Amino acid sequence: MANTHPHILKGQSISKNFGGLQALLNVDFEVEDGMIFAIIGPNGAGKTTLFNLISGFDRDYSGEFIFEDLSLSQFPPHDITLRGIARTFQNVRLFKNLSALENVEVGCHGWAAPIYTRAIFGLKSSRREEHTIKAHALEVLDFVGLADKKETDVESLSLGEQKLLEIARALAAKPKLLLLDEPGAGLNDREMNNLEEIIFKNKKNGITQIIVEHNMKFIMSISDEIMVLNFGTKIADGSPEIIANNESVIEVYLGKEQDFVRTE
Amino acid sequence: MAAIFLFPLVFPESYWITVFIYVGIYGLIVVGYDLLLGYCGQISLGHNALFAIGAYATAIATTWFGWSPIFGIIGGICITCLIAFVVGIPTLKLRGYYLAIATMGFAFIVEALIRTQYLGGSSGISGIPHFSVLAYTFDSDRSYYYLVWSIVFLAAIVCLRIGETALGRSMKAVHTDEEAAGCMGINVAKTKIQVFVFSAALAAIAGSLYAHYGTVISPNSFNIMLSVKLLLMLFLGGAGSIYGGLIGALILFALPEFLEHMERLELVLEGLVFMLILIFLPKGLVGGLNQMLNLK
Repeated sequence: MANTHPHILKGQSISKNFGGLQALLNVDFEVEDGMIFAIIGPNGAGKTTLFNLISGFDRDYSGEFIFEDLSLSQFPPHDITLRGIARTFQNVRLFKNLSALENVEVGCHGWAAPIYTRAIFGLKSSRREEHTIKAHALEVLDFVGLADKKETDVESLSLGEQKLLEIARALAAKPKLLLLDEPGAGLNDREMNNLEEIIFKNKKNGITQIIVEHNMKFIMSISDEIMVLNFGTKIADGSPEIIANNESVIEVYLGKEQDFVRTE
Repeated sequence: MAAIFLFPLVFPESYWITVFIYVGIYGLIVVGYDLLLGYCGQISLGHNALFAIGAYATAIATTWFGWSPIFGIIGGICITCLIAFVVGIPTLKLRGYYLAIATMGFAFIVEALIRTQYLGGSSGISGIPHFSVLAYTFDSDRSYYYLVWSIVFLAAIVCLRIGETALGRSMKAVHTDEEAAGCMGINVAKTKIQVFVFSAALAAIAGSLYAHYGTVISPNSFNIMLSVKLLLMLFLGGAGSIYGGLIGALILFALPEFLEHMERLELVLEGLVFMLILIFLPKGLVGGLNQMLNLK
């Protein structure tokens, strides 16, 4: 298969300083198109910070992200989403005043940006557009298995369902690159299996995924490549096998070696 | 709705027609204000100034320059939108009470300007012509009533349509979480400025309808209390429902008329009603009613 962008995202010497605290220091990485790329590391290693920089949440950093052939450094979050990067949040940040379906419909905003004149004057065209948005949102809700919860208030969904809804909302944007920030935190075994299935289906659909996660078993079984961060610096990267046998990684996770045993 | 259109036929020459014209004029501002505050969560205490600019623009255009009222109104809408755009860019970056205070500052500036001698001072501008289109002049109360309420319903329908589409959802998203909204591809700054300018346009239309109805305007009609009353109307009726604001406007303007003979009690009662509603019906009368209907 011809691939114009063997690397969909590159980070080049990314550094971020929070008033004296070095959250990230000269981090370089490359994410290949279509892969599942995991970022692991202890708390405070800079994983979520890295997500915030990629998604344009925080534009005060040095270094450069190259998405496809484009530098992302100058773009505000909505522009980055329009270019094909969607994300979820570590602490669920759904729109609580909207229903589950409406949350996913908001996710469609990137490719179906509304226009006032059309909403006011274009009865037919705006109705058609609403119809397209709704159909797509329903499809995505069904994809993550929440079709029967479409009218539900997001606050009455379980944490697991809220996490899935966040993924659905991000997928609705039709992203090329999906950033998942601890998608498995707080999920039970059954939900975890469902999540794994969704991630594999995304991969099959050609979506590149970067995943921050603490659950080692999960990460080791799904990732194509893993990057390990510790105190803002990259200490290792490579395939799960390489990471599992990396001395400095084992040192960071001292006493947790058994977690790296791959269970298949 | 039918009741509102039949009203002048049932009660011709009624004093209530005048009351209802004012209800419609203020209702028109509230409808746009609901999109700004109820949907998008951006509070403005500067809408009295936008209302004033709309009124003064058409008053000046028609009395000083002899424009016909329809062009005065269009000119008023344009200039109000332009000013709202310029004021909105820096202020809408602020959130919560900071935004409220900044917009209030804008309102004070406008109020000070319209109190200057150049704009008629405290006696304002008089001799504003009645509204007319082509050969027809809306000089009777009944004709003006229909004019105002037609515009109000048109505006309410447009706002409901905006609220139901992706625009409304993006406003609600900005309301709850600006950063997350940005990550959904929503241009947060643009969303806020658009809805601010849109609500300013409705305030300007209301202002010019006000000027052409009373034919006299003075700064006292446009002070900060008006913005406070807008808030009252909106939360009384129910924010985020569009027509809730109209019901709020109706209550806030009709209630004092019922209580005519106890004028001193007016503010006390208004305040009391407001407090009770916020405590017991935080979603306003419309929200409370919906809740009760759903329970059954």
